[in-house]
Amino acid sequence: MEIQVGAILLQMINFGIVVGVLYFLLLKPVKKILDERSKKIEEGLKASESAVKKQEQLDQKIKEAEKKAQERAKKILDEAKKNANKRGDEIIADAKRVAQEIRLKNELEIQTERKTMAEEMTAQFESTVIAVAKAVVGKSLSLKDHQQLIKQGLSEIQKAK
Amino acid sequence: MPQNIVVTTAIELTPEARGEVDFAVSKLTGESQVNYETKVDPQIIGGVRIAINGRVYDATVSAKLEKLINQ
Repeated sequence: MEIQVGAILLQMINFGIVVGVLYFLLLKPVKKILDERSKKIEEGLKASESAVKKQEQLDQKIKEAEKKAQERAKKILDEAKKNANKRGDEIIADAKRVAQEIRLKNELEIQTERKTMAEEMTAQFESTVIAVAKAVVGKSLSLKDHQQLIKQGLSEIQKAK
Repeated sequence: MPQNIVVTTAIELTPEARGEVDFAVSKLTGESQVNYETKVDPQIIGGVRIAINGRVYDATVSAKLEKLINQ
């Protein structure tokens, strides 16, 4: 069998041409497509990471907001309790003050009543004493006693003037 | 100017007592001749009360008793 060197060389050249054509027409666009796909995947991953990161930040903000809201609610509740206690103290103080006023008023009324009764009793006593004294002294005075009393009275009046 | 003078005693004034009252009223009014009305009121018990134009000089036993009780 005879080896045809020329044909082999021609076949090699043909193969090289086919390889070159395939490289430029098939492998390069495919490589480009693969690169673009990788790039898109990479961007997708980056976007995903960014989204996760944003979600985490959002969760953190929500937690902070919840914490602030709880603190605010606690503060409002404490303030309300404080105000309620203060109002309660005020109500108790008012009640005590009113009770004290009523007690003082009652004491004053009792004192006034006692004073009036004492004055009435004194007046009655005085009237009785005067009436008894008039009856006793008036009956026992003689004409001479009357003359003496008139004389003494005139002397006192002149001295008083 | 005429003065309104009232002298009150527990009994009727005797002439002697009237003379003493005249003297006293003259000294009180500052006039030598005075006219006055006399009243008898047993309630005063004794002594004399002289009222000159509303001003009262009270030296009665009843007034002294009341003063004593009110002290």
